[in-house]
Amino acid sequence: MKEAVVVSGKGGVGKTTLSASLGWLMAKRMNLVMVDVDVDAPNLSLVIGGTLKNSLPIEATEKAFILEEKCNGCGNCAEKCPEEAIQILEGKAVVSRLFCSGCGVCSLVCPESAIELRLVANGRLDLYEIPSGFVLLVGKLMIGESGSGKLVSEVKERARHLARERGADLLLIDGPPGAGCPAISAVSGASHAIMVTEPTPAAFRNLKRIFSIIRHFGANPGLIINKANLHEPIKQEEIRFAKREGIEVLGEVPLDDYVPKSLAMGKPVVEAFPYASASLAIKKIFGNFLEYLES
Amino acid sequence: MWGLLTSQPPEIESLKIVKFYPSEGYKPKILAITGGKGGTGKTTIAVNLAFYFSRAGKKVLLTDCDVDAPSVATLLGAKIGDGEEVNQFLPIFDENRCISCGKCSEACRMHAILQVPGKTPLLFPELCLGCGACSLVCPADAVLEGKKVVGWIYEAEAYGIDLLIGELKLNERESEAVIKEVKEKGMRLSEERGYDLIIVDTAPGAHCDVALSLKESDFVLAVTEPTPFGIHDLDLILELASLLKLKHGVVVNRADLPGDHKLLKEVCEKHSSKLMGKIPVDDKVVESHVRSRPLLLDFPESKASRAIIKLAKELWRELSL
Repeated sequence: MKEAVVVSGKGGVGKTTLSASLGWLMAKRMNLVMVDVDVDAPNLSLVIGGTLKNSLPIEATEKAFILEEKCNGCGNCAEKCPEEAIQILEGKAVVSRLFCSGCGVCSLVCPESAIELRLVANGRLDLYEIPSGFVLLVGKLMIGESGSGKLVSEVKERARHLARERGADLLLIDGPPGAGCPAISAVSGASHAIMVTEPTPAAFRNLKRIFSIIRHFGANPGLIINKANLHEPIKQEEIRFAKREGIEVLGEVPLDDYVPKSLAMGKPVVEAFPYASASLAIKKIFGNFLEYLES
Repeated sequence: MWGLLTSQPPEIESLKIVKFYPSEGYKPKILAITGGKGGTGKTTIAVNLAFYFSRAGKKVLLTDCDVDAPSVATLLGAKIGDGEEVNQFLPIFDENRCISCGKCSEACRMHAILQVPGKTPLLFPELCLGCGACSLVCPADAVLEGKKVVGWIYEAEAYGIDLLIGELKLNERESEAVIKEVKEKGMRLSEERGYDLIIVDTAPGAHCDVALSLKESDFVLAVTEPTPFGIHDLDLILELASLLKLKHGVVVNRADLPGDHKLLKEVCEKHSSKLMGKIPVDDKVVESHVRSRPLLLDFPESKASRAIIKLAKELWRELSL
């Protein structure tokens, strides 16, 4: 089974839009499982649709809990907490769940053994059946939670398991923006990593950052230039960068009003407007993508 | 790393260096710019608001807390010098003192320490949070204080705006440490220089990094777009801002994209968030990015500039600048 992840460095360049269209085309050709690991802002299901079949909590983080009857309000925990996540209110320690990283220092310094670390759900995994014949898993981080990297790893692990169970040919992963913890977890273990960029200075700079991560993990790198006619010279620079670094250029997609129109309809552009210029470009990329997957 | 940046634009007005003596109760106003979805225009709006306020005579510090994809300097074409390292505690196990008891390995909830029987523990630095639990529990005083570089902070200046940029080291995961340092340094600089306003540009998403960046701000501006993705993620980020008990408002960028303005309004109402403006799609925005100069400077009459200026005035009142 192949495992391809779509990432970008900069956000909003079109990861999910392209993943949705590629997935839609792919499902006609092979047995596919898709997973959205942009756990902070999971959007793939908004454009792929489908029926929610199952939803389960995922416990991928620990948090400190104060046993109030034991707490004497000494404040050791608040003083030593590296995240400044504990306050003493009315003589008792109170943990701010949003900022607790679960390191456990508080429980080590508590003279009354009044602090316990408990595994808590920091996310959810939703399973959608898609009418065009595949399964979509969506990982969702609870608001403001920490441990998104661990959640990404956990969601991917379950997606792999499901994909193997279903005898899938491909696990297609819609990744998070950035080049931090969740993006690192998304890229880790993938056989192919497709970078989406646009020809703007900020997108190019952050493309280079995510490429360093991909190279570190040894995934086979591919590149799609979205909104390609935004700026010709930067596009050319990006293509030169790709050639120099041995990145497979899978193609480019022009700016096309039909793309936001299709999103507003909640459909991949290749489904909603199969003859729009963006759709034709994505179909061409799809052909290259199939070849690239074999490499 | 910053090679893409074009040459430094001519300096138009530089801040007068006057020693600042903070008066009793001095506190800069803090405006955080966030959005949920990536690529909605957070940084574009942050740099142009900073430019506006600075031109209007305010002392402005713009901080980039999107440390895993920082773009503030790129958008302003600011020259970046050598950064200051952001370090994090990393244990070093003293072989001579270690009694191989394994307590450090037990205490480490990140599973970054492996105790091999009879040997000095083995550390997996990429898993280490730097919390120091290992050193707290070691009965033999064998955990020495080492450090690892997790990122850098850069100070720069562009168009009279002071910049503070955090950058996460590649392949490091400790973005929180970098953000914390950017925020702390911002407050230190503020004590010295007396900023009227600190603008914080955050990462996309609604996770702990964003929560940390938003913390302590006087007002949170969520930049969204009317697409289903934009609205979905706006709902999440406004919930986070409410959880943090912060005041918040919304600006709709690329407002003429096809979308559902009614639903967007409903999401704002659900969170009692004020709709503070709409910015139209405008080709001049991309042009300003390519030039790495503020939109308001080069195209002050463009549709988007006019909308941003209107927004700035609204924020001025909101923050009572």
